[in-house]
Amino acid sequence: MKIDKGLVGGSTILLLLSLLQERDRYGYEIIRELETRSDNTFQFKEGTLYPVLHKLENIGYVESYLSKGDAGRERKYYQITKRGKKQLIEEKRQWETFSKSVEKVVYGDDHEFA
Amino acid sequence: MNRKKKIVRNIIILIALSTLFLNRGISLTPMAAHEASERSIHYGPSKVVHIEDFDDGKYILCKYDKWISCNTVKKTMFFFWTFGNQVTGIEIDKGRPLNFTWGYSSDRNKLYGIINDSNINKVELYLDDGRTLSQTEFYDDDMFLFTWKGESKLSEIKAYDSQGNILFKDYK
Amino acid sequence: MTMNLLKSDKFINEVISYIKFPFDREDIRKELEDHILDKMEYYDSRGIDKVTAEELTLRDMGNPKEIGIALNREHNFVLGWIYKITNALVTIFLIITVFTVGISLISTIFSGNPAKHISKEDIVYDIKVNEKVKIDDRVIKFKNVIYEKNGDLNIIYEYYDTKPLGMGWSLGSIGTIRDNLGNEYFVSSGSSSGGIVTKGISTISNFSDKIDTLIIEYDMYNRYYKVEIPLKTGDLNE
Repeated sequence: MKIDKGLVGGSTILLLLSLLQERDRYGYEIIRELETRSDNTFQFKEGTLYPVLHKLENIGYVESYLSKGDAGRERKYYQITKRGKKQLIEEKRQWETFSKSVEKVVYGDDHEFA
Repeated sequence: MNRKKKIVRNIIILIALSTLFLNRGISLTPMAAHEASERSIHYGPSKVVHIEDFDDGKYILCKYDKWISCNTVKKTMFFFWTFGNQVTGIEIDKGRPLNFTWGYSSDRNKLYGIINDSNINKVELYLDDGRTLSQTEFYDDDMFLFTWKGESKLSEIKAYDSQGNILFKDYK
Repeated sequence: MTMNLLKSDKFINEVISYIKFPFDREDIRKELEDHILDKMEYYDSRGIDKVTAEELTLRDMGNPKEIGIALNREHNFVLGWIYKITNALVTIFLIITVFTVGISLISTIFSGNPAKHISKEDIVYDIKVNEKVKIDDRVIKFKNVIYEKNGDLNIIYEYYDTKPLGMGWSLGSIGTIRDNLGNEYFVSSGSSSGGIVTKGISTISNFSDKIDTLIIEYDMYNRYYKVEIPLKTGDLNE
């Protein structure tokens, strides 16, 4: 099932920061990782990733640098910053609260988690 | 570092470097340059009684303790001000009705002084090219400044009272 | 681009056309090119021909106008210029600082000893004075007094501005020079040089060897100091 909602709407920051938390990545790498891990559920217009990355850099959640890396060509890599890590924790928390609330509404109050 | 942070960093560096340089030869305002110039030559701080512009600078007519002076400051590098010359002044001699001194720098001449006799209400300069300059309104009630351009020099200076009597006269 | 990809260039050019701040355009171009090349390699590894790969890649990229406008929002024109201008100013200021400090340091290092022209055999006595005075922001140190066989008395001093990197007036005069009997002396020659620290020497000719004390007194425009230097008299010392 393909979901195309611009860049998956409000969870974009959560997804991107999570991926960068693991390791520094360049744009194309991020797209591939998102597709692979979500079993291709998340697919969207790849070019639209860059305005988001640049925005995250402007805010200060990520920093960019040029590197040849393992990938041969010199590319622009993105790295999560301390502020970004803090924001990721907050995003995760918000996501958990959000998804729990959705579950409660859809499945009713007696659906509990172990 | 993102762009905003870099801009802030740049501004901090600029401010830090500026404090090293400002008011030590280069100042942001003419008055700052004047004060720095006086202090550096161990004079003043003067009371400024009049400021007059010339092409790329200002004359600053002052009083300090028992001296009078007419310092200059010059504009430099578009926005900044730096020292001129003739910073220190002459001692006031109350025994004479009027004290004055004059100097020139390339084609700019200045003559300034102080009136010790309160009856004087006009000071007149006669230049050797025939021009006459006069002043009847004095700065801080007793100081005068004449400036003129060109090669002509002072021929005679006279001071008058309200009746036209000559109270002081001096020849070059 | 490494391969001849006209459609990709057109795509990127259209994106770039929406970026108002010119200095960021090349970086954005490179980033998008790298992505497109990577995606085309991916299609290539699946056996797809170059022409189709390019079409598919550009379709995957999205709408160039949308991307361009969104990117432009993150590359603020005003901020960009402020950044560029402050960068240029910092460079200029740093150059001026290095230059000024450099010249001051070099002058200071090379100014050496102002009394180096006096050879040891000519010296009758060399008295260490080491007295410090201050007027406004200037600290003046009287270092030593050297009396020569030819009757020259040399006062060696140095001074610096307590505000470093200051450009200011040189010290005009070290003061009036008298002896303990009240005779006034005039400096026949003097010189000074230096960067951060200016080193100077003032020389009085035909100075009698009978004088007890040298008095240097500065009294101008309400600034004052007085330095008294006891001199050796009588027999020649080394």
